[in-house]
Order: sequence, then structure tokens, then C-alpha cells
Amino acid sequence: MEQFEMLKALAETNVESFMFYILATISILLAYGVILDRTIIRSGFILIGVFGSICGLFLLLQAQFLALAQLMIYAVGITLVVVIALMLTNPRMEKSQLSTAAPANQLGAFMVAVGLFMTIYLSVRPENWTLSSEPLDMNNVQVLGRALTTDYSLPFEFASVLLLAALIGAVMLAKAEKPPKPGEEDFEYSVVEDSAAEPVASKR
Amino acid sequence: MYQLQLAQIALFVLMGFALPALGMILLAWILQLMFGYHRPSKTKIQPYECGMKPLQEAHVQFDIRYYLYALLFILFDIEIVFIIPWALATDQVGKALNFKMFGPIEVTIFLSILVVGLAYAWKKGALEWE
Amino acid sequence: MRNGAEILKLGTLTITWWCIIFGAVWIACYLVGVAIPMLLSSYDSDAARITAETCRALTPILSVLVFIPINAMFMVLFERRGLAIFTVRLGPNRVGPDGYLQTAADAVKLLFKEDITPHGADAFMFTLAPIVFFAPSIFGAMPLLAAVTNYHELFQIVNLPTGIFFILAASSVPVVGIVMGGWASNNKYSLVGGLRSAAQAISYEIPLVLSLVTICLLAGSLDVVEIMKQQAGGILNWNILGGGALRGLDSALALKFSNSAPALQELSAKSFDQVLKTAYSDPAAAALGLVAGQDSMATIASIIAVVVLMACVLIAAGLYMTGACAEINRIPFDLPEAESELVSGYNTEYSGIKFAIFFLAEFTNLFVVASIFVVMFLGGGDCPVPAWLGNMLGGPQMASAINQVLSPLIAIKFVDPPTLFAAIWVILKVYGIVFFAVLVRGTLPRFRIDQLMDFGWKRLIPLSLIVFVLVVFAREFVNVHVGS
Repeated sequence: MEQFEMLKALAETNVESFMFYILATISILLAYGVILDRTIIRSGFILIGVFGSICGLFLLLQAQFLALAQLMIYAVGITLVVVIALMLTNPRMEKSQLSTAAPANQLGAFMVAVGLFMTIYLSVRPENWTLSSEPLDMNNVQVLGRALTTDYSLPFEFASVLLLAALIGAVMLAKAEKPPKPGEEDFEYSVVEDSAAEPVASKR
Repeated sequence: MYQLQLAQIALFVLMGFALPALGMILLAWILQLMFGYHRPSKTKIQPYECGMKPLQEAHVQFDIRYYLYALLFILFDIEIVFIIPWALATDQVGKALNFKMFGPIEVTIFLSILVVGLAYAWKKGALEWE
Repeated sequence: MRNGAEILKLGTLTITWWCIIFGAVWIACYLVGVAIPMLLSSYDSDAARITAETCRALTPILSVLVFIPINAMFMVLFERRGLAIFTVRLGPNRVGPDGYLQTAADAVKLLFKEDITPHGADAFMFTLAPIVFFAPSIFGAMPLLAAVTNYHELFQIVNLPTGIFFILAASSVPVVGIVMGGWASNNKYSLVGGLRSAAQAISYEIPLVLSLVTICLLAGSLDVVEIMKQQAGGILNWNILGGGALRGLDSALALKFSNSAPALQELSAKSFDQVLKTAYSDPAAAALGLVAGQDSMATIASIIAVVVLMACVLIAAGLYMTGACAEINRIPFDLPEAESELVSGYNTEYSGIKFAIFFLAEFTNLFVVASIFVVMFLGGGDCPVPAWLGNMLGGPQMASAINQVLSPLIAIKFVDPPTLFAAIWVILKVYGIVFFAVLVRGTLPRFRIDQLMDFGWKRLIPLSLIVFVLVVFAREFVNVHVGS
């Protein structure tokens, strides 16, 4: 009988807010993990957890499509880019050359953080948003698509232009520093011959 | 209904993570403690490198080409995420506007701008794996 | 001759294991989902009701948990025996009767092996990697459960409105586990394997997703059950022939252009396979019907569009299979664990239970990928014989005879005929795809990394974009011009 009372009480409490608090706690803890971890690639991996729990928050808000896009683009795509970019750094540098920032810089960073937090907090306070009580359509991807193709068709096309700009920028960044120096070829040959693997050990 | 579905998703995700974790704890610790198989030695835990002592560190500095492919991937990923709502709504929009070709033309413009980017990357040799 | 005997042995082995796997899953689901709630329904108390509801809610996850380990065991054995046949060998045939228990023995061996963390490895990430690799194979398959059980009432709850996108998003996660494991191992082979895996997965995910988006565009839905239901009614309606989509378009047309020529209206009201049936029984009438519209040019354009659509969907199916093989690191694309180059790739340093989890997830992913193909292209649990042909061949009599035999089981709700038949067809189709994957593994050599990236970025991605745009326009041509 006791158990049943407990179950009933559990069912009466709002499951959604319960899940929200769990997910929010996880994401905040993991976010601290990202900035506190000294191994930089590991914090890249922890970022996946942060994005994953934010994906859960979107699911709670019934924005399934957004949640899954979050998982697909941020938790996997962006994080892979971050991790791969971090692997471009020189791993031997970190232990000797990392030092804590100067107190003045720390203060500046703190001020910026507080300013950002206040801005976000003031804008997301509930009185700035009208709450709708009507239940959402289960299949709200179509609603999203209709808005995207009609009212916001110009932004839809401009998203493509933005992506194009990013693409060209990426290609320029990666391909710009390729001066074909004489004598470079021998070096490349030796790398290919002795390791037959992709990682090019840094000689810089 | 939605809350029940949420609970199902949460259950599946939780079990997905908990099951291998529990398996590791139960099997790797308890079983191995019971049968005393866990006896690491210095040679045993040395990273494998054809039986030799490993040369240098494993975490080397990587080549930039992986980064380029990853960036290109994100762009196409975002493009697909934009296309999915379009694909579901295009028929309705065509009917509402009484112009069936609106959706197809729109998405063709969207894709062709990206294809220009792909062609540029191709031309620049960004898709070459040297 | 001996090969023939081996094939026969593989057949009996397969059927025996299918009975074990699906019998176990079926019984577990029955006990928890039906039997316990039925027993509890005689008690009229809230506690009993809540327990019954909880049991019913736990059925989907229970079915997955029972299914995955046994199924992976069988699939390893299936693959090894299949490969043995292709290379005219015997394969594992010592453990248990004719090697039936080989993989069970392997599993026990793996569990008792010493679990080593290499020197200098990041122990936390090293342990987390197999978990991250494994988890999506459980929750990623969630919406598929509703589709492969033919929307059984116990599994309706796991059907999401964004079904296929959920599966795609979940199936993009394992690559993170691979990179994580490769990086945490502190081993050069692992690191190279992990990064290769990342490069490969990101290159082949785009054609894979685009081909599935093409199907979603044709179906007008992301819901896997919806897509499966649209394909009901025989092989001609399946998406792989472009048929399911065409029928939807046809009925939409019939509503829209109800004032056009009567013959055409009658034609477009019919489903695509009915049109073909008419064509087989009376070709002249069918040809007349097709050109009877006011605008014969438009009709011809529509027919061309139909052909283009069918070709494009076939190509999309091929793209999906290629991309899926690369995503789950099957053999022509198994560069992350290329054993002749990288020892064992990202799992070089893994042993014992952690390796077992990697192994389990790999084979589960193969099954999941095959089920996605079956649901999206091959009509899910749909019988390939169309109803009109089935009636000629005596399908209803057979069905009623089977129902007669099963009636005691149906009475205790152990068997639900629609789900049973759907499940049997799904098993046959999925293992057909798995067998195809094994065949590919036995046939094709491994790609080189530069060939792999070139093939992905310079062939598959442009091809998938072209297919997508062609389908977008082809379906509109069918839509716009017939009878207008």
C-alpha cells in the first residue's frame, strides 16, 4: 500500500519538470567539465554530453525536430570538427606552456561573463514571452517546413549563401598555406615511406 | 501521450547507456575479482606497437585535411536539416499557392548555391586526399 | 557437391537460430506484455492496474534487450558460415552440434578475458567509448520497433512522428565512440583508425541521409509506420519500385482533376499496380487508357517521369546500401579496423568485455541498418505478393488454414496473426539484406583511403544530389501534367 501511495504521488508530480531539472543539472555539470578539464581533447568529448542533454531539453519542449537536429549537427558534427581541430594542435605543448591567465585578464573575462549572463537572463525572463496553453501539433515538422518555404523563403535561400561563404572560407583556410617549396617533396616522400599512415608528425 | 513517449525515449536512452556500463561493472570487476584474472604487468599494459617499445607519443599532431572534410560535412549536414522540413511541406505549400513548381524551384536554387560551393572546393583541390 | 551440403547445413542452422531468437523475444514479450496484465486484470485494484500498465510499457525495451545479445551471436555465426561457403571452406563446426554454439563459446571466452587498460591511456574515456558506441544501437532502433511489428498495440508508444530522422540522428552518434576510443587508447594504430573512421563516416553520411530524405519526400512523412503503411499491398507498391509514392500521387490526382476525361479519371483513381494488372490482362485497353487523356504529350511526359522516378529510387536504394556499409564499417569500407594495415584499428587495445561491447554493437548496427532498408524500401512486413495475385493463388484459403491451426494460440492471445506474418516477412527480408552484406564482404576488396574519400565526395554526393533534384521534379511532373 505504501508503494502504491508513492507511485501515485510520483505520477502526480510533473514528470516534465522533474526531467527538466535532471537534464539541466547534467548539462550544467558537464559544461563546467568542459571548461575545467585540463586535457583539451577530453573537454571536446565532454561537449558531446552537454549538447546531448540540451537535445533532451528540446525534446521536453516538444520540439522533436530541433532536438534531433541538435544531436545530429552539434553533438556529432560540430564536436567532431572541434575534436579534429584540437588534434591539429601540438600535444607536446600543453603541459609546459599552459599557464593561468593574468589577474587583469581574469577580471575582464569575468566581467564579460557576467554581462552575457545578465543579457541572456533579462531576455529569457517569462514576462517577455507570451505563453500559449494550446497543445502543440504532434507533427510540427510540417509547420516548420511551411514557415520555412513561404514566410521565410528568403532567409531559407540566404542560409544557403551563408553555407557557401563558410565553405569557401574553409577551403581558403585549409588550402591557402600550400607553398610548393623546392625540397619539400623529399620530405613528404620520406613521411609516406616510413610510416604509411596519415598523421604527419610535427617537425615544426 | 507525449509524456509517455518521452518516458519511453528516456527509458531507451537510459538502458542504452546503463546496460554496457552495468555489464562492465558486473563482469569486468566482479567476475574477474572472483576468478583472479586481473593481473596487469608492465609489459602487458604497454600500448601495442608490433611488440616493440612504442616510439614517441601516440598523440601526434594531425593533418589539416581531416578538418577540411569535417567542415564540408557540417555544411552538407545543415543543408539536409534544412531540406527535411521543406520535403514534408512542399506539397501543402504548392497547393496553397496554387503553383506546384514553387517548392521544387526553391529547393533547386538552395541546392545549386551549395553545389557551386562543392564545385569550388573540387576545383581548388580540397577534395583531393594527398 | 559438398558445397551443396554446406549450404543445406547453413539453412538448417539459420532456421534453428531464428526459432531460438524470435521464440525467446516472442515469449518474453508475451509474458510481460500480455500474460501478466491479463492475470492482473482479475484483481480490481489500482496497484494491479498500475503494475499491468508498467509491464506493458516495459515490453518494447525488454524485447530489444532480449533480442540484441542472442541476435548478435547468431549473426556472427551466420557470417562466418556464409563466408566459409563463399570461399569453399567448412567454417566453425566443432562447438556444439555442427558448430551451433561457436559464438556462445566465444562470448563466454570474451567475458572471462582479462580487461586491460593500456599504459598512458585516458581510463575514463577508454571505458566510456564502448558505451557511447553501443547506446545508439539500442535507442536508435526505437521507432523501427513499431514498424517491424506492424504497429502492434504494445509497440505503438515507441512510434515517433519524426521516426526516420530520429534513427538517422541516433545512428550518427557511434562514430564519436570510435574517435573517443581511438584517442583514449594511447596507441598510434587506434588513433589512425579512429580518425579514419570519422573521415569515412562523415563522407558517407550525406549520401545515406539524402537517399532516405528522397524517400521521405515521396512518402510525405518522416514517420516510419506511415511510410510502411503506404507501401502495403505487394511488391509493386514498395518504394524500391517507386510504386508506393505513385499510388499516393494518383489518388491525389483523382481528387483534384475529377472533371477530366472519364477513362483517365478511372485510371488515375486506380493504384499503380492495378494499372499494371490491366496492362497484363488487356494491353490494348491499358494503352488506350493511358493516351485517352486530352493532352497526350502530358501523358507521355508523365510516363517518362514515372520511369525516371523508378530509376532514381533504385539508385537511391543503392546509395543507401553503400552509405550504410561505410557507416557501420563493413568490408569494402572497413578502413577503421583494416587488420592488414592497422592491426585492429580503433579497438586494438580493447579486450574482454569492452571488446565484446564493440563487437555486439557492430553486429546490431548491421541488423538495424538492414531493417531500415527493409522498412524504407521493401515495405516492412508487407507480403511481396499483391492481393489480386494472392487471391488467384489461393492466399485467403492458406491464411484461414493457418489461422485455424493457430486458433488455440490466438485464443490465449499468444499469437496475433497480422504481427506474426509481418514479423516473418521482416525476418526473411532483413536476413536477405544481411546475407547480401556477407556476400559483399566475401567478394569485394578493401578501398584505399584516398579512393574511399574520392568515391564518397566526387561520386556519391553529386550523384545523391542529382537523384534528389530529379525526384523532386519527376514527381511534380507526374503530379501536374496527367490529365490537365
